Amino acid sequence: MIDRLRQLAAALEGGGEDPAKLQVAAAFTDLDAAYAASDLDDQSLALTLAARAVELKARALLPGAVPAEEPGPEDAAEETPEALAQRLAAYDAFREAAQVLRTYEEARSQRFGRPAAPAPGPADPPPVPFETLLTMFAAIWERARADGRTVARQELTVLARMDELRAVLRAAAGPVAFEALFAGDARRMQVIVTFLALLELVRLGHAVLLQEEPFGPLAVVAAAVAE
Amino acid sequence: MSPLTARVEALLFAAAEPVTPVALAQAAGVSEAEVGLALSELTSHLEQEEHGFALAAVAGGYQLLTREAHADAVTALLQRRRPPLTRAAMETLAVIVFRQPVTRAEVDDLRGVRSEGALLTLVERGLVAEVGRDPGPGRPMRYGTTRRFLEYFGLRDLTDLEAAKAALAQRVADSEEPA
Repeated sequence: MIDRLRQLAAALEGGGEDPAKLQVAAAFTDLDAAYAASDLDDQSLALTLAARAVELKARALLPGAVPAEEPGPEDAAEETPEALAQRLAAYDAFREAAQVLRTYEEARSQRFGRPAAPAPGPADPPPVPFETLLTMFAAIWERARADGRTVARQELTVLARMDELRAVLRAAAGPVAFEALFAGDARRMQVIVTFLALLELVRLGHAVLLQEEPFGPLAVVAAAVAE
Repeated sequence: MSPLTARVEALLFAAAEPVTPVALAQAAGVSEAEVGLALSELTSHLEQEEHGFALAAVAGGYQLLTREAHADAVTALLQRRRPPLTRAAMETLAVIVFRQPVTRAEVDDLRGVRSEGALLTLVERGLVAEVGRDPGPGRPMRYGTTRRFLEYFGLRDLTDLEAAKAALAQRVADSEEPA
């Protein structure tokens, strides 16, 4: 299709064959192949070039329809046939360069190295069972209930606590002990808010729970650190 | 095979990525020159003994890779084959490789279509990365190839593509000459 389009552009410059004889319809034959490839980029490229081919053909057949000699201001950015031919020639060269890369890709795909082992640590932590999380939370909950006997109006929201936890995790630049996140929470409601905020951070992927061994201490790390 | 060569072989076997001579020397506790000799001996050994894998110079380092002759068998065992890049992604990559550092707009101009999706794919696969900003209006991001690009294509470095680059430059220059 590129070749056919370039042929059209060359014809428009006056140095090629009769534009009227150029078969624009042939430029569309590759559309089927492009769509069969089911690659959106290929499809859009094929459509764009086919549309451009039609435009060029129309210009060749109906020279009065578009004033090529004195383009208006709205046509200032229009690509001239000569510029188009140059660009397509350069594009063609890059397409061939892409083929060179393709040969390297195919050759390399025939050879195998050791697969990378899963990275240990926070980047790929083992999933922490929810029961473990509840067990850890229960201990904190018990301590909070023992300390707090009054029910006060809470001004701290889950959203605000999420921001605070994010700041704590980022500042730590590493895993933070699960219990440490509740250090300032003396009352039950505070513990609940912190726990909900933490669950939400984990759900959103902003924080990751870590437990290096069964029954081991639970830690939390910011997702940015985990990456 | 000398003990040092065997040690270097063990290091390369354990590594999942190409290992530089510097890293090999540090791990083995010897000089780079000694590592160089060990690599030469290892290459000869693997060739003479017709091993199923060979030593490949990739991305400024060395890596043990299976030979192409066994590709089908290895593929059957692993049940995996990496999907090739799409044509659009490969064309976009070619522009970046041979014109880097380059902005997305420059890639778009050359291809005549938007390359945003293809570029995103390349970035996600780690083949290209942002390498700075263009000083022009809007200071758009510039893109260049990565070490992962060299690994993906099995290239020692970008000079492996010098011949292709020269041919490309000649063709582009020809296209810019007036008819």
